[in-house]
This record gives sequence, C-alpha cells and structure tokens, in this order.
Amino acid sequence: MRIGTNAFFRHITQTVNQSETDLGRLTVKLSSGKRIQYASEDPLGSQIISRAKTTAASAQARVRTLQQGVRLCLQTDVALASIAGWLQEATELASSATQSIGATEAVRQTAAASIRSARDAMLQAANSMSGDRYLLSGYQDRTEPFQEVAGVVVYNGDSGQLTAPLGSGRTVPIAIAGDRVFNFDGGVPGIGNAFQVLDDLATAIETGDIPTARNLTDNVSALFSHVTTLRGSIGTYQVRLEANISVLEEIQLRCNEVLADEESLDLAGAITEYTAKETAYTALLSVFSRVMSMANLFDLTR
Amino acid sequence: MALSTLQIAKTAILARQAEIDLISNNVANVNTVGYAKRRAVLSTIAGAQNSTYSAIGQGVSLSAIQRLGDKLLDAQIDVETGQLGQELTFARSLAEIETIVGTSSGTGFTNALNKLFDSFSDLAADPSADTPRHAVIAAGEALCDEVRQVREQLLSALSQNDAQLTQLVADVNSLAEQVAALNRSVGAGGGPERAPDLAEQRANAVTELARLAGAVSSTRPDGTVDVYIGGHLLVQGDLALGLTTLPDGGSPPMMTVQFKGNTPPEALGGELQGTLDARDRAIKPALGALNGFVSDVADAINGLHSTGYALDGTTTGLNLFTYTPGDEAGTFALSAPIVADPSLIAAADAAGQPGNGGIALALEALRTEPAPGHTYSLMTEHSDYVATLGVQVASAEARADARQTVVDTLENRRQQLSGVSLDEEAVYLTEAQTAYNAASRIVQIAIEMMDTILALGR
Repeated sequence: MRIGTNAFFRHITQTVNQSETDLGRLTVKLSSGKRIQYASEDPLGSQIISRAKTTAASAQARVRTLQQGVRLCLQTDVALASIAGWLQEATELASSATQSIGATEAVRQTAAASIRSARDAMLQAANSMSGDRYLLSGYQDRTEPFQEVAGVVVYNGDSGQLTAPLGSGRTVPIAIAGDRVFNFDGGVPGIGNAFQVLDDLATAIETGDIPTARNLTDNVSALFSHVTTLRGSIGTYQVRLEANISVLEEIQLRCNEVLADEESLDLAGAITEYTAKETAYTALLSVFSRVMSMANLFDLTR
Repeated sequence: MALSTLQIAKTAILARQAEIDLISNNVANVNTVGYAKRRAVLSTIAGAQNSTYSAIGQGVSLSAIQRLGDKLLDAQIDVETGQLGQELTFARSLAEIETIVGTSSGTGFTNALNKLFDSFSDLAADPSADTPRHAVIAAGEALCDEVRQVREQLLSALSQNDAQLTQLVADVNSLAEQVAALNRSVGAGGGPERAPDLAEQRANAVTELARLAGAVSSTRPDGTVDVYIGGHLLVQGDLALGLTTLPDGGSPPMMTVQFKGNTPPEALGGELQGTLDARDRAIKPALGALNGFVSDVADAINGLHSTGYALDGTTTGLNLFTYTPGDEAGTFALSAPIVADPSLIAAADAAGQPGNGGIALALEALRTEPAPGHTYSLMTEHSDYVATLGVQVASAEARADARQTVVDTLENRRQQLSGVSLDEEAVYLTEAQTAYNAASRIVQIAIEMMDTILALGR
C-alpha cells in the first residue's frame, strides 16, 4: 500500500481524533462512575436500569409509608395499653369497693371518685395524638374523637380503618377506630360504651347498689379483655408491617445489586482500558513525532 | 550540426523545466483537498522525413499533463459522501434527541415522575395532613416544568433544524453558482485537459454538493458538467438553478425544500436529506411521543383522581392535571383550583373520610401497575420508549460509522492513486534536474563545438 504525504497526515489526524474521542468517552465514564450514560450505549441495559430504579423507588416509598404505619401502630398500642390500664384499675377499685366486707360509705365514695378519675384519664388517652393526627378517630383523624357533652362522652370519629399499602392492592390496618375500642359500635354485645359503663359503675358504687356494681364490674372486665384483644391485633398489624418492610428492603437490595451490575462502571476494567488507550495515544504521538523528525528526500537533495 | 544539437538540448531544457514546474506544483498542493498529482508526459520530436538524420530525432516535448485520478472512484466517493452526510446528520440529531428526552442517569423526566409517585405514597400515609398535599403540588409542578423544558428543547431543535436547512440550501445554491461559473471558465480555458486546476475546483464543488445534497454529476462532451439532485437539474452548463425553502404552513411551521420554480425534488440526499430525516423521523416523533406520554400520564392520574374526594369530604370530580389536546406537552399543568387549594386533592375513595387515602394509594400504584387501557405501567412505557430511542441512535451511529469506513477506504484508495508523496516528488525532481543538467551540459558542449569550428576560420 502506497501512503502519500497527505494520506499520512490524514491517517494521523483521524487516529488522533478517534483516540481523543475514546479517551474522552472513558473519562466521562470514570468521572461519573456509570457504565451507561445514554440508552444508545446499551439499550437493554438502560431498560433494566430504568426498571430497577423504578422498582427501588417504589419500594423505598412503600418502606417510608410502612414505617410511618409502624409508628402509628406503636403509638396506638401505647394508647390502648393506657386505656387497658385504666380499665383494669377501675375493675380493681370496683372489686375492692363491692367485695370487702363492711365497706363504709366513705370507702365507696372514694372508690367512685377514683373510678371517675380513671374514666377521665381514659378519655385523655382516647384522644391520643401522633403529631397532629388523632389515633382513634378512624378516617376523621383531624377531629378530636371523644368529647364530653353534658357529662356524656360522645364519639366524633368514624369507623374508618387507616391502612398502609403492601402493593398489588393489598393493605394492612395501622390503627383502630375509637368506636370499636370503646364499644360505641356494640362489638361487645350487651354492654354500653366504656365511658358510660364506668360512669354507671361509679354511680352504682356511690349509691351502694352493689349487685349492679358487681354486674358493671364484670362489664368493665369484658371491656378490658376487648381492649387487650385489640392490642394483640395492633401487634399483629405491626408484625405484618415489619415483615413487609423487610421484604421491601430486600427488594431494594436486589435492585441495588442489579444497578451495581448494570449501571456501575467496572472501575478496574475502565482504568485498564483507559491506560491502554492512553498508551496507544502516546505511541501514536511518538510515531508521528519520529516520522516528522526523519529527513525526507528533499532534505537530502543537494 | 552544433546548431541542431543546441536545438535538441533546448527542447530538453524546456521540457524538463516544465516537468520541474509540475513537480513544484505537486509539492505545493501536497495537502490540498481533492488535488490529484500530475505527471508530465514527454515524447520525442520526430526528425525530418526522407533524411538519413531523421532517425536521430529532434528532441523532446511536453505532449501532455497526466492527472493521476480515477473518475469512477471520484464518482463513487461523491455518492458515498452524500450517503455519509445524510446518515451522519441524522445520527447526530437522533443522539441530540436522546440527550434531551432521556438519559440513563435517572435525571429528568423519569426522576420527576418517580417523585410524583413518591408524593402520592406520602399522601396515602397521611391523607388529611397539609404537608403531603403541598408535596404533591410541588412534585406535579416539577413534572410539568420538566415536560415543558423537554418540549422547549425539542421545539428549539426543530427551529435549529429549520435554520440548518436554510443554511444548507444557501450553501447548495452558492456551490451551484460556483460550478456554473467554473463550467464557463473551463470552457473558456479550452476544456478540462487545458484547465485542470479549474476542473479540480469544480470536482471539489461537486463533491461538496454531494455531501450537502446528494448531488450527482455527468460530464458533457464539451467538458462541462451537469449536476442533478433527486433527478432534477441543479446545474446545466453555465446555468445554476437553485433550491429554495418555503414554510409549509403547519403548526409549528416547518420548512420544505423546493427547486426555484416550485418543483419539489423527488429525492434529496446528503446533509439536506439527513436534516429533513432528523426533523421527520427524530424530532417530530419525539414531540409526538412526549405529547402522547403527557396525555397518558394525565389521563391515567385524572381517571382515578376524579373519582376521589377532596379533604372536605364532598368535593369530587376534579382533575389533577389539565392539558389541551393537540398541544399536550405545551399546556400540561396542574389544575389551577388545586394549586390554589391543595385540600382539593382527592386522596379519599369515599365521601366524608379525610383520613382515607384510597385514591392516593391507587395513584401511587400507577408507578408499577398498568393504567386502564395500557399493557404496561407508565414508567415501563417511558423506559421502553427511551430504550427504543437508544436502539435507533445506536443503529444510526453504526450505519454512519460503517459509511464513514467506506468513505475512508475509498479516500485512501484515491490517495494511494493520486495523493502526492514528497519522497516520490523528490525522486522525480532529482530525475528531472539530472536531465535538465545534462541538457545544459550538452548546450555547453555544443557551444564549445561551435567555438572550435569558428576558431578554424581565424
């Protein structure tokens, strides 16, 4: 192959341009740490990356939602524990006042007052909040669920069940509506709402109506059991939420592995390739320099 | 006798002088684009007939100047250069669209859409709160901004494409004028053999026309060339017919290319066709895809949102996004009443339940689940589009690279045949110089011979 002077310079120019393009491309990859900058570099890989990122973003958003659900569950459990505690205390006070032989009126009056205090404390716990959300309002979570109107506690919430998404249309409850907790919905048959029961119990003890008081004490015990059962439910919800968080975190991990495989640059390979290209480029410049420094026939013609 | 020797030596000196001039011209044009080296063709001058001395000959003359080229190869290079111009222009434009529409780094449109779905997820977790509602508004506006930005970049690419088209047409017309003028000059100069430099300039202009517009040429018997684009004459002898651009009357308005006289070319080539391809096969489809995607996103989200209930528990039937059909991306926006009052975002799937996040949950699910009437999720459809665009870019770049290789190979072949080598020219120069020196020596000897003869008479 005969290479003319112009062809020689043309080859050198083309090779220098190509080498600079290759080095520039590798520099962008090395500085970004990413194997693919544009889909055209690896369309299939870019599609895998895009899907992995979407899945990871979806999982991350759900983890955040579920973690918020776990926090609500924990706070609801604390509120329910407090409510159960006041119900238990009311039961114990009533039992003490109705079963001890020769309980004086003073003792009964004290017990009745304590039961009313427990009922007031329970009302406070019933209006527990997480941030600015009421825990036991159902879907009316910005409305104070329990209010005392003319000595009677009324429920302003609804029966809505707050839930957190698990994906594919599945949800898990993250709170329990107050009407269910305090039996406004009649879930424990034959017993009124917890506040009314405690009010009636205090009145019965106050007036010395021991049979009614004993009967109401049994009702308070039943309500205590009901709240304890609901605490169990909340615990179950929390376990489901945490299990799903683990699954979603595993999905995120897998997505990150896919991204590491598909998107992250093989640094060792890229540096090796860069070094090879750089060496070739240096060699090219060296060859050009040497050829240019060689005398041609014109230099030797006298 | 000495006089005839002087005469013969003189022809040699003149011929070698011409040869050295030619070599000098070759060296001067060593790096001139399109220059083909030339060689002097010397031939002996026959002696007078019917004479014993006729066999001696009368010296040497420059009978021709040979241009070391291959017209077939030149024509092939013109055709391939036109194809390369077309494919390279299209590939570059497509790559630009890829840069605008989607990268694999997760920035831009995909990122904005993911943020919107994240905000729906946060809203579902606390539907009655203000903060997640404001976050939905912020994410929605960011998505609208991103869409508008992509649209503006695409419209800018469209406008630049038109400007490029206008410039290319101006360049083509200028070159056509050049070719016509050179046709006149070559004719006046006695044809391409007598005016090789002008013919070479004309050949370069034709190659440039091939690159710009896929022009082909044919040479007439008188040495002038006619240039055709898409079967229509662009240059006929010394007459240059030009191209012109006209707005097509569409919206947005785009340029069409015609011959002056309103004849649309049957087929263009080169960068002109590449520029038209970029507009019709890259930018316009990208705008169409953007509009389609915007309407898909808006319809899918509005379809769910309009069935939900606002925070007041009663307001329903509101769309979250608005757009005008036909200019979806340009008019894509959040519903104004919702921007003014984020409590109107419908997160609940039942009336009177502010803490219900059923619709927000369903909206978030659109990230990974198909919207009604779709086979794949919105995100998957977008990533499929970006990947398809990537395949097109890779394919266009591969075609352009392959064409570049063909052009390089042909150009190398032309350089092997007609490129100037300084070493080769030095050899020819030495050869010519040696012959010149020898002829000069003969002149000296002839003079000495004449002196000898003249001395006999003193």
